[in-house]
Formats: sequence, C-alpha cells, structure tokens
Amino acid sequence: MRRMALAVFLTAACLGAPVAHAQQIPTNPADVAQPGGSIPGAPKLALVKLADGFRDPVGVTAFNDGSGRIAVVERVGRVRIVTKDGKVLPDPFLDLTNFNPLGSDVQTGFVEQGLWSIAFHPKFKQNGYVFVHYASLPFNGASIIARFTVDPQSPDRITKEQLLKSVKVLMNIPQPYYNHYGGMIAFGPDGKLYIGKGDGGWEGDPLDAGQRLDVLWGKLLRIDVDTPDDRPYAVPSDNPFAKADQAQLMSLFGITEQGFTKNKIGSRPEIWAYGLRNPYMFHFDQKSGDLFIADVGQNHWEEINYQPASSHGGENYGWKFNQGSYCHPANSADQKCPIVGVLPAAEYPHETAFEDGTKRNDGGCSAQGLGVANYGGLTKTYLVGDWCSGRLFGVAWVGNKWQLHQFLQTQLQFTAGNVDADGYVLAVNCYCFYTADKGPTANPVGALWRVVPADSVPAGAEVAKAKTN
Amino acid sequence: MRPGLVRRAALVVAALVLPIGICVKAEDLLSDFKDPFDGSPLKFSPQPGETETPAVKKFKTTGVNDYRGNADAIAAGKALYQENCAACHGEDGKGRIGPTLVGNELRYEQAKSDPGMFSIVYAGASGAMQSFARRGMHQDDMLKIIAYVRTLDK
Repeated sequence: MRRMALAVFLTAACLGAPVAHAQQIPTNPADVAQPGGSIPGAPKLALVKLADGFRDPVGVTAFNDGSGRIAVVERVGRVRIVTKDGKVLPDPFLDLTNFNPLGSDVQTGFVEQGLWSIAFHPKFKQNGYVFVHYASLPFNGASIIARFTVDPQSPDRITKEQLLKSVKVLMNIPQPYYNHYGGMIAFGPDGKLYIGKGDGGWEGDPLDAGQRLDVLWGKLLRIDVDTPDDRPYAVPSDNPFAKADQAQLMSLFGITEQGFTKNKIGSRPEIWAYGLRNPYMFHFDQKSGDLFIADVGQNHWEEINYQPASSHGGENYGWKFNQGSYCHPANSADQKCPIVGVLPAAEYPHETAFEDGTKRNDGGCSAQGLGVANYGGLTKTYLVGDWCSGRLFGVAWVGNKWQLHQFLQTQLQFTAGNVDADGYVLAVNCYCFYTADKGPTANPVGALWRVVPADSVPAGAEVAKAKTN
Repeated sequence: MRPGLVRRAALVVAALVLPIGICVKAEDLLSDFKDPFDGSPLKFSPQPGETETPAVKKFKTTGVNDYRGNADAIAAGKALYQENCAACHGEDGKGRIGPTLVGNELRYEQAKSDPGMFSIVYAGASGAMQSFARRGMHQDDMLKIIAYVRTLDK
C-alpha cells in the first residue's frame, strides 16, 4: 500500500509541469565556458564555518526533515550530525567501522576509498530510510549501496543493532582498481536514486568503461529504491536503456538504421548517462530539476556537465574520447579530434593544460561540485570548488551562453558539497591527499562551511581566508 | 644559476658570480618569510617533539640554508621530495598537478628564495598545497627538500 501511494506520488512528480529552459547544451567547443567569464551582478561570496573537527570529511547532506540537522560524511565510515545550532554530536549518526566483528566494513587504504555519501529518502521523515555508498573492505573495495532505517526512538543515532537489523544491500559493484569510484548518491526530483560511478580507475580508462554500456563504471546510474525488501531495487521503465537489452525477435528488414541503433545488446538498464570519468559530485537544481555533473578530469581538464530536467537520459559525455571539449590524450590546444557525445557547459584547465606543457594558472585539478545556488542575486548557479587550487567557481547561463565565474580562491581543499534546508550551498574540506596521507583518522581535521553572500556573514562568524584574484 | 638570486634587479649582476649569503642582504631574505596567500608575516613553531636544528636556527635568523650543496642533506631531501612532492610537482620539479618549482616562471615569486619556498612548504598555499607543518613534517626536513629542489634547477 505504501508502495502504491509512493508510486502515485512519484508519477505525479514526474509529470509535473514542464519548466522552460533557456539554457542550451553547447554544440561548439567555443561555446563551452572557461575561466575568465563573469556572471553580471554576482555577489561577493564568503565561506562561513559551521563546524569543525571532522576526520577526512568527503560528503555532506542536509537531513531536510525540518530538524535543521546536517550529516557530514567521514571517509573512515562514519556520519556525524551537526545540529541546527552548529553543535557536532559526540556519537556518530552512523558507524560502519564497528558493526562487523571482524573489523571495519569500509576499505580506506587509498585516499579515494571510504564512505563517500549519504542520501535521505524523499520520505525520510515518514520511513526513516537512509542510503550510503562506500568502498567495502570484505568485498575487496567493491562499491556497496545500502539502506538503513532510523529507529524513531533514536533519531540521532543508528545503533549497531539497528544497523544490522535494518540493513538492505541494494548494489554491490565490483571495483577493478582502487581509484575513480565516483561517490555521490542523491535522490532526484523524480524520487529516483542517482549514483555517480567512476570509470573504475587506473588512468586512461583501460577498460573503456566510459563508453561501454555493459558495465556500470563511468556512468550516472538511476534506480528505483521503492521495492519490496526482498528485491534490492528496480529499473525505472523510463531509463534510456531500460529495454535496450530485452529479448526480442530479430527483424532485419523494414527497420530504419535509427531503429537498429536502439539495440544495445548487453547494456545495463541502470544507466542514465555515460561517458563519465569520475562524477564524484552532481547536484540537481531544487527549483528547476536541472542537473549539473562535476566530472573529475584526468591530467588536463575538468568538466561540468549540464542536463536539463527535460532530459530523457542517455547522454554520452565523451570520456575517454574527450576531456572537456578537448581530445584525449590532450596533446595541444589546436589538436583536432571528433567531439563524442555531449559537450560540457564549462571546463577549466589544470596547471598543465596539455601534454605539450602549456601552463595555466586559472583552474585546478579536481572539480568538486558543491550545489546549485539560487540566492544573493545568483540564479541557477552551480558552485564548484577545486580540490587542488581552492578556487570557488560558479557556472551559470548568462544571456545566450554559459559563464565560468571565479568567485574567490581559498586555501581549502574542497571535497564535497550540497544544499541545506534553507537552500544555501554547503561545502566540506579535508586535508587528505594522495601524498602524505596519514589515513582517514590521522589526517588533520576538516570543516563544514556555508557559502553566503559576503555582506550576509553573521557577526562573529569565522570566515575562510580568501582572495579574489 | 640559482633562482633565488635573480629576483632583485639590483643584485642580478652580483648574483651571477657570488654565493647567496654574500650578495643578498639577510633582511631581504627574511622578508620572504611570509604567507604566500596574503603576504602576512609567518611565525614558525616547532611541533611537539621537534627540536630546532642548528641549520634551522641559522636559517630563521639569516635566511641562509646551510644544506645547499651538502650532499648528505640533498640525498635526504631527495628522498623526502619523492615521497611528499613529486606526485604533484614531478620528479624533475617542472610541475604536473602542481606548479613548476624550477625556472623563472614560478607561481609564487617568493619561492625563488629559500625563505619564501620554506614559507610555502611550512604554511601551505591553496587547496592541495597544504601546510606540511600541519601534516607533521619537521622544519629541518623542509630545508633539506629545498636544498634538493634547487639542484633540479639547472
């Protein structure tokens, strides 16, 4: 009965009034925004510290249940609660490190491994369902997506007993290498769970995972979690490849060539979009339902993809044929190669923008999407923090083209973000890196920040050191 | 040519022929003990269990890195560099994820002097170039790393 009610609700959500989209997906590399752009009227922004002391914080999600609580994900396998007044509760909300008597359930040996993300069911307030995505130690680093149920008698803590009693494992995705997991999971405005899944790692996508439709790596996945408990999940019937692999009679004649392309034998129906390298963070605009994906690039270019709410999925974002609007390998700026699939809305370079050694000082090395801002004079502006340069960028459609606007540069190593219950963008930073990694509980602690207009910083608040040039 | 010698036009000629301790006034070097992010002066505190070596003490007061040209210190600096720095700046110091540490086009002008580079390693700059003091590295090791980095600048 609950399921039926939810289905009706979700159907209604899906059929909601279409939203007008002025934004266009670039069809020409020259239309892809790069650093140096500007958003007219953009406010000065500041990062206000909400709480501190987190061990390798790599994810953050607001509870959105009216409590004002914020969940900060610690890579080691814990989720900490920050209360509405900024207090960090001493006991973790969720702890994956000690329910298994043989040790932690989370693989953290490499800095890209760990617990990455927590998502609250759209009806969390009624059903208490929370979902997590992490690298499993018992399953040799495989991606586990699991659901737990909060006991209403213990709203701030899922005890070990409750965790074991309520766990439902939805997915176990083997991982070939120890990097490029992706990480974020989030419910879309359609009530479906979206999963950012990296290409499985190494470099250069040796398995061609991005372009292959028969693997879950290198994708944005979309699943329906509202299934009976004995069924891990369902494939939404409107997924782009939901029926592409179904058994059928063969017809050779009377079919158009376009018709033949619909046969994607062996394709995985969970796929929503492909050609991604490492979509660690992606966010829906809560107002329009539009989607932004921050796809972490390889050696030279970071890309931010835009997908309107009207999308039916199936976009190919080009990896490993392209990095941003450039080639892979990216030898030089004037190198020619086909653009495969869909161009990003924006892109920014690394220190070394091409294999020819071109140096740039206006980008970073790893795009961490933080959330879509609709405040302080900003409209549908995707905030992106960079892990290497500490820059805070905004991606927005201005007039007739995309702009990549640098708000400021901080000293922070951004890892993740999300939008809080009031619509403000949150960010977390860590001191975790490939080198000098002391492990998920021994690295210097990171903090939780809220991005606000600089003229709205509360009196006495601690603000991240920043410069605007 | 050592890059630390070329940053002040008035001293360029002298820099071509004279060692750093002679041609650059100590107060000039000491002015590079600053935060690369905003130029504010830096204070350097030893960590628990860290003792200030004679080389560090001298460096703080004169800006002169005694490990330059010291084969043992450079060898130790090389090992530390490969463990902590090479992933971003490259084995050759010419930059990969992070900026180049050699040549004249440095991200931070202050990195051309040893106190300036020391300040960046100690206090961090932006994003992934975090404070190595916060990560637990001792100042004596920072001096050794810098001594090695200068050997890459050929």
